[in-house]
Amino acid sequence: MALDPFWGNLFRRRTKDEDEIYTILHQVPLFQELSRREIGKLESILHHRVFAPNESIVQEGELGAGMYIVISGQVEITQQGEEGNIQHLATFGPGDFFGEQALLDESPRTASAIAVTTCQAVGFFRPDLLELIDSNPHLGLKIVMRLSHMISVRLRQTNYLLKEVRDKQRQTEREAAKAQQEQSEEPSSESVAQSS
Amino acid sequence: MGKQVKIVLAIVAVALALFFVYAIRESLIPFLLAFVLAYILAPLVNRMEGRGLNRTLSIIIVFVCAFSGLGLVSYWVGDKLVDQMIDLSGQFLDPETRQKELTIVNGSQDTVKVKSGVWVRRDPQRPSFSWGKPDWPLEVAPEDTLAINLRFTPAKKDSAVEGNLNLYVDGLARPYRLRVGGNLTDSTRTNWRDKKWMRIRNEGALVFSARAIDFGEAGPNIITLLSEYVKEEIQPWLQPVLGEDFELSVWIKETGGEAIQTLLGGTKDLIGGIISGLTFLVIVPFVAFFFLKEGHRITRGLIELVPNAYFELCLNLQHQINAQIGGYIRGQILATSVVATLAVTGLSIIDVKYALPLGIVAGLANMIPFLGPLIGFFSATIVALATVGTEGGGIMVLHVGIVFLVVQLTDNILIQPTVVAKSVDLHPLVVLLVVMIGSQLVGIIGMLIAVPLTGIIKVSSQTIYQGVKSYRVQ
Repeated sequence: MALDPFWGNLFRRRTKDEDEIYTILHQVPLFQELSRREIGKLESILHHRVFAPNESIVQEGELGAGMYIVISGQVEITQQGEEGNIQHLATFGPGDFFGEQALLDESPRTASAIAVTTCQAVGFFRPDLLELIDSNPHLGLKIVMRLSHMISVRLRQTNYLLKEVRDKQRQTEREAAKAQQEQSEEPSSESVAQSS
Repeated sequence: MGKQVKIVLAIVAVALALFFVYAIRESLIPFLLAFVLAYILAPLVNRMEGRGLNRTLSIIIVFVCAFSGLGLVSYWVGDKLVDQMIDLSGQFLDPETRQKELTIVNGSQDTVKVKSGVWVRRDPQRPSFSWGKPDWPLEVAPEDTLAINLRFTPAKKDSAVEGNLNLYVDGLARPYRLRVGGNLTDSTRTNWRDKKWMRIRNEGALVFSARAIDFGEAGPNIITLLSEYVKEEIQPWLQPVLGEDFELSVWIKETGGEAIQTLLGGTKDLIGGIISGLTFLVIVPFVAFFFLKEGHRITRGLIELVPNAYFELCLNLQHQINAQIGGYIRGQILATSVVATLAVTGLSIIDVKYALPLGIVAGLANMIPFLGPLIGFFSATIVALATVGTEGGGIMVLHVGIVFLVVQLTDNILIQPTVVAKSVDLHPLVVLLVVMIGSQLVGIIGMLIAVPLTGIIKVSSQTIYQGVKSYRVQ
C-alpha cells in the first residue's frame, strides 16, 4: 500500500488478494489452459460472493445458474439420502469447485453446498458464459472445450463404473440363474427330501 | 415488525420513488433515449469487440458510422421532411378566413353617406371576398370613423385571388376603388408595394385607411376539404342509411376540427421539443456512450448487492430481461423503419402529397398493435382525399389502400416473424391510455415514447413473473 491513497490508487498493482484469486483460478481445470490475460478477462465476468458459516451456497433440487470456485474457507457438500437422511459427500477447500454442470443446462442441483466457515467464493454463471461466447468467442470456446472435456472424462468414468456394475449384476444374475437351474434339475431330490 | 407494517412501508417507498420519477420526468427523457440508443447499438459494439477490438474504439467506430449515416439521411430528406411537415400542419391549422378592416375617417363637419359597395371579382362562381353585413347606406358622423370588416375566404389555397371593391360615397365623383388580394405570389406582392397602393388615401374631407388590402394566406383546411368531398361524393350514397337529419359532412367538419385542435394545438410544445432536441443531440450520444462502455459494470455493481439467496435468480432474470428488451427495441426499430420506408415509397409512387410525413406517421403508428395500421391508412387517406379534390378521389383511396395492404403484408410476413418480442401485444385500450398519459406528462415526446416504454415494462414484468414462478416450482 502506498502512503498516499491518491497515488496508491493511480499506480495500483495487483493486490495480494487478486494474485491469490489468479493462482486459484489457474488451478481450476476449467481455466488451466488460459493465459494470464485471458484469466484477467474472465475475472471481469466472475462474481465475488461471501457466505456466512452455515449459509447455503447451492440447494439440492433448486435450479442452478452456474459454478462456484472456493477461494477461502470450507464448504461441505451434502446430498439427501432416499430415506431423508443427509449424506455427507465431501468437504471442499480453496481451489475446489462445484456446480459446473449448471453451466451447460438449467437443471436442478444434484447436491447441496453449505459454507462451514466464513467462505469466499467466485461464481461463474451460464448467462455470463453465453455472453462471453458472443463477445469473445475464442476465450469462450476454450472454456467450453475444457468443460466438455471434463464432462467427457466424467462420463467415461461413469461408463466404466456402470460397466462394472452391469458386469457385477450380470454375474449375480448368471449365478442366480445357475442356482435356479440346479434347483430345477434336481426337483426329485428336493421333493424326496420334503416327503421324507 | 409485523408483515403488514412491512407491506405498508414498501408501498410508501414505491409511491415515493414513483413521485420522485414523476418530479424529474423531464430530465429522465434523454437518459431513456440514450438507453434505447445503447440497446440498438450494443450488438454491433459487442460483435466488434468479439473480433478483438478494444471496446472504447468499437463504440467510437459504431458511433461515427451511425451518426454519419443519420446525418446523410437528414441531409437527403431532412429539408424536404421539415418543409412537408410545416406545410402539412399548415393545411390543418392555417386560418380559412382572413379579416381586415377598412376604416373611413370623416374630417368634414357634415355626415357622409356611403351608399353602397360592389365587389368586382374575378371568381364569380365562388366569392372569396365578403364583408360583415353592412346596412346600406353607412353613415359616418362628423369627426368620426367607420370601420368596415372585410373577409377573405378562398376556395383554394394555392391560387392568388385579386379583385376590387367599389364604394359609392356621396360627394365623390367617382366610386372609391379599393384593391384587394389574397394568397398573392411574391412577385405580385412586391408589385403592389412598388406602386404605393397601400398608402392612406385622402379624398377631400374623407380619409380611407387603405387603397389596397393584402389579406395574406388563407384557404380551406384539410378537414373542410374532406367534409366537402364527403358532402358531394359520399353523403348521397349514405343518406338512406344515416337518415335525412344527419349531415355526415357537418359532423366531420365539427368533430375533425375539434380533434385537430386537440392533437395539433400544442404546436408550441413541438417547437419546444425541437429546441430541447438540440440539447438531446449532445446529451443523448454522450450518455449512450457511457451506457455502452460502462453498462456491464453498472449492472454488475447493482447485482452484487443482491443477497446470496436470490443472487442466481436475479442474475438469470437480469440477463433474460436484457435480451428481451434488446429484442423488443431492435425489433420495433426495424419494423418501424421498414414500414416507414415502404409507406413513403408507396405513397410517393401513387403521387400522394406529403408522402414523407405520412409514411413516417404510418411507421411510428405501426408500433401500436391492431390500431396502428388503421391510423396510418386513415391519415394518408384523409390527406390524399383532401389534396386530390373531388375528381379521382375514389381511385386515390383505392391506391392508398393497396399501398397499405402491401406494406402490411410485407410487415406481417417478412418482418414480424423475425422480430423477437412480438409477444408483447398491448391491448389497444392500454395503448390509448398510455399515449394520453404520456402526452399529459411530457407532451409530444411523451406520446412517442409511451408505447415502447410500456412494451419494455410489460416484457420485463413478464420475464420476472415467469422466472420467479419457475424457481418457486422447484
